[in-house]
Amino acid sequence: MGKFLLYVFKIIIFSFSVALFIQYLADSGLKKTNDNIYGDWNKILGGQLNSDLVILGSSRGYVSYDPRIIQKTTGLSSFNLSINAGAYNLQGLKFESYLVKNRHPTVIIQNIDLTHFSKSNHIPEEFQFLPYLDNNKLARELSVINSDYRWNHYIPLFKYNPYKSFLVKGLLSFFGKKYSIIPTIKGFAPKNPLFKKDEHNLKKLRELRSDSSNIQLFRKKLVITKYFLPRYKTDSVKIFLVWAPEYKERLDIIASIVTPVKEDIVQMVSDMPGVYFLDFSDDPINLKKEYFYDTFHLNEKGAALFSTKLSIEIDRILKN
Amino acid sequence: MLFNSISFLIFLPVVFILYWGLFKRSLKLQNIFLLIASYLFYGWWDYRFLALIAASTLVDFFVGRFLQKTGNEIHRKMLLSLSLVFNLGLLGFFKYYNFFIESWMDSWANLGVELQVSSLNIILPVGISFYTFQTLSYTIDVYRRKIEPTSDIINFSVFVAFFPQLVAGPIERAKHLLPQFSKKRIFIEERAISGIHLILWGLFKKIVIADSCAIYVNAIFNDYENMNSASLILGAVYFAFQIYGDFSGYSDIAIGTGRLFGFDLMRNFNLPYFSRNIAEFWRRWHISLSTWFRDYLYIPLGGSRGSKWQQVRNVFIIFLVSGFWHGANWTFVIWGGLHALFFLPLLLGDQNRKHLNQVAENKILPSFRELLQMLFTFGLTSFAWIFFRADSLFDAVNFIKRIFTDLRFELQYLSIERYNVEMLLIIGIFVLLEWFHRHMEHPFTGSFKWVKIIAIILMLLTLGVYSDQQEFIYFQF
Repeated sequence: MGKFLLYVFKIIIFSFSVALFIQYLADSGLKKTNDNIYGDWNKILGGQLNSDLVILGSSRGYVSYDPRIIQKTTGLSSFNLSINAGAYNLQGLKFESYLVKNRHPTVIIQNIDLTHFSKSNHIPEEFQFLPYLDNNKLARELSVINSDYRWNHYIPLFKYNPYKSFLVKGLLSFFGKKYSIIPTIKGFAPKNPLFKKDEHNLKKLRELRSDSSNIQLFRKKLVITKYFLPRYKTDSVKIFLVWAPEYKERLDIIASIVTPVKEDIVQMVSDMPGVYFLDFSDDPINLKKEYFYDTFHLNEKGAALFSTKLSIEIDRILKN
Repeated sequence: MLFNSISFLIFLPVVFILYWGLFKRSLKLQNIFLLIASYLFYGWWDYRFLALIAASTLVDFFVGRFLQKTGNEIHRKMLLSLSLVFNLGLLGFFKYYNFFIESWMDSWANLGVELQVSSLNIILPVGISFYTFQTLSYTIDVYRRKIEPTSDIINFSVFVAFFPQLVAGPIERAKHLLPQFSKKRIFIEERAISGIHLILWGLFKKIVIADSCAIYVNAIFNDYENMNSASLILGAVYFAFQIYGDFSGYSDIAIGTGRLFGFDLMRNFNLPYFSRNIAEFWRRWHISLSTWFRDYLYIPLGGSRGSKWQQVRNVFIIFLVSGFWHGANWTFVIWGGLHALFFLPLLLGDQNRKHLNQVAENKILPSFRELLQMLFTFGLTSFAWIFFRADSLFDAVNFIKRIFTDLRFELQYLSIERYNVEMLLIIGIFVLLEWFHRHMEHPFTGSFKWVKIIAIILMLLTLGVYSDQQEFIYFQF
């Protein structure tokens, strides 16, 4: 029996060791790729940012806020911490990961829109976390959202199972091959595809509008933001809640839901000193298709114009 | 409980440790413990159907006992009939009741008569086709006086319900497996290690080959009307590897698990896709079922004796019944019928006993002729698999019709966001591994043994399908 158990033990140990070694190579290879989503996470987790101003948001935050422009106008070092397709809980996770080793920012821009009020119950673009699951806090928080993550933590290489191409890219990158995986500029990921109407989303919004109980639902969900904000708010911190531009066709559809929600936001902000609500849903940017790649997201040109307008407004408020 | 589940990953070591640790000194206790473990294994899926296994066990145990006690041939025939009626009755009710009712109503409907007979919402008990055939082999062999009936109900119960092979075979014969429950078991380390190798190889076949193929197969078969000829052909080829990986993988895990507990289960697959004709394929595919039908149906019908007409009749009967055994759907019957048709030229030309050896014996590569023979046989089986996989005869016929009418062979992007050819690389590696180890049960031998073991584990980790855990196909039979 001893020989058999030793044999099984050897199978486990040898496989585990080789898997761990390959995982180390792939993780290191992915971490080596700079100026992209991995470079951002390296800086976030490594405490290399210490920005005065950070931007939080989901996909709209990710593609609409150019920290270079905001930094130039306000004079505050800026970084975009938005997480593509991530609702407030994932945005919070990224920000809290940032706060572990970076100085607390003095200005926070929080993008808000109807999607912000929902909680993510899955992890979007999971590949971005692949090389960082040795970070216990991050791994633990991700396991709360997706319980399968606990296996990723204990079984080496298993995390690459759904992302085989990233395993290959990581290994090749380790041995010197250059890859461009979702390039970013200070956390900002500008996009330039031709405008395409996201008809499936508009259809959902039309259905949403037809049910008046949804207005109450969003108003209720706003409470989340009310509790969320004080966690990051100290006397010296200013928070800007920003409703970024949306293409007019979309705004027309959601107007009946958005208007009462915005009234609530204005009411909420009036009770919170240092918190400002900047609403760009009446801005002329919304009227022009040339600034969008779909009805919800600004393209690079739109992001540049919006970031300029926003940073001027923020600078004005900060200087008053 | 599935072999490819977390619960089995916990169940197996716990049962193994208790079996060899706590109960090692008493054969009786080991058998009782195996019986409890087997019932737990089966009950994990649905405990209500344990009653069926218990009933089947009791009926056949007492039929066996009475068969031994009576010399009266009429009584013996009645006892055998009781076992046949009970076991086949169970199978007939749970597996075929709705099929017969619906077919009966359809045939009257075709004559313009609408019958009002309601079908029942019957759940098919997992593995019923396997354990009923296993217990039937016992009563038939006792009736034929080929084996002595057992007087130990525990041994017999665990023979019927032995968890490694309970739900999908191999369908063991009492003559081979039952005496193993009466012999003191010694833990032989080399055998246990070979068991671990077989389990590993079976998991690879199931989780990497079969379940990966299943993703492509489902995408192609569920959307065959929009597929080009290349995708449809690949769909049939992928299904050939899916069902092979799935079923032979299960058998390997079952045999390997049996070895961990000191048991020797029969080999169920012997590289069937390296067959040079259909007769050889059937000597290598689902061997335990093929030999069951041979011994208990084909030979009693006259087998290869008698006139050519009788031989042809026997071949058709055995293949049609085999098809019907797989499922209550005409697609399975046609699948069996096709194999009978493929077999027919070999029978008529007295070629069905050719190729009894391994292909390319003592050679690295096959001859060009052997290669063509294997490809042709694989082509025939893949063609027949279309009927096996299709949801209905209508779908199968249209699937095949489209292969021959679409005639576009370019790359096609599937709904699963992968190209139709992407699975071919893994299948190629698998075929090469099987080819170069075709004289062995698994590839974990030779000087690169450890490299192969680690490579297979790494492939299980990175290429295995876990997100959409698939049941074993043969569970439904």
